[in-house]
Amino acid sequence: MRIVKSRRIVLYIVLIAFAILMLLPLWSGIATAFKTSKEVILTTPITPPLHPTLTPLIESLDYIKKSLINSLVLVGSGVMVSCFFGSILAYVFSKRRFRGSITLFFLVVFCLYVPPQVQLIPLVRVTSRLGLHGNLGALVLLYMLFGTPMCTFIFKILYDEVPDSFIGAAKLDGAGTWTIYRQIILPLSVIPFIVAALLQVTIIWNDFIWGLILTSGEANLPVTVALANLKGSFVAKWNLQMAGALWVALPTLIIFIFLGKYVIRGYAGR
Amino acid sequence: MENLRRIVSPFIAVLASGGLFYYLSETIMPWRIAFAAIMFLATYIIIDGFLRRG
Repeated sequence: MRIVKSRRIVLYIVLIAFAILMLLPLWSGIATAFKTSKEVILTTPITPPLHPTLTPLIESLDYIKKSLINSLVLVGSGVMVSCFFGSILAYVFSKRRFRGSITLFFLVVFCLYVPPQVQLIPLVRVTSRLGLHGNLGALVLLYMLFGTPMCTFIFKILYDEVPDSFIGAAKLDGAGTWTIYRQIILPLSVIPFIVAALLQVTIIWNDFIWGLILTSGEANLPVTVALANLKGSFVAKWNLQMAGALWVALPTLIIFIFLGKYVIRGYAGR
Repeated sequence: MENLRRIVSPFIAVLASGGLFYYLSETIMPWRIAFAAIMFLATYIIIDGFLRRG
């Protein structure tokens, strides 16, 4: 009994040590965000702010507010359209099988595993040809299309569990493919929509590389790229950067706190 | 509920697609129209489908 108790104490000590180690960067970010520029130089990053100030938070928000709206627009359009296309594709792959549909499904899923670095140059050329390069339109198109494979995958897992008898009964009542999708499949898809949407929100919000490559001009930047631009040219303003990072991290943090179980569901494929 | 669905889903869809169309002011017109149209379709069908649940 005593051995078990001492083991548990050691376990808790180790866990607390790891938790502190993990939370240290977050703490140093929060602490630095509330410090004055002078205090940032004079103290270590983990020292609590002696004279807390909101100036870095206000200044950084002023700099990234346009980019925050840009990212919100990108998230809204990307999530809505990719979930829509994904659910239609998944419905077809799951309930309207045809010759070669499994191969096609694997090809769609394969798109998930193509690294973005491989697609950089082709995509820049394609968006230039389409007249979209340099503005938000390029990113809107990209997120609408690139989110579709993951959404298809998530929706197909759920739609496979919908009994075929539902579809058969609807067919007997004279419903066509589109009616079945809208009146039977879609009303059953609220949970997978939440799961897919949350994953897409996280991916699009945190994406850096496409925003960096496909947009130009301060007015068109997504928030992650604007955050990277917060670093000064000659002097690094750490408090501004950390305050900006807090603003950028806030939406995903809120999502994980309140809807974390759905995100985990998505990663677990359930 | 049926009447609510008929009003709410097109209203939100128009709002979303109109917002996107307005915001993409630097994008060339054919693409703005295309994005707004796709957005309208996606939003309308998804919200309409969800409201049918009730």
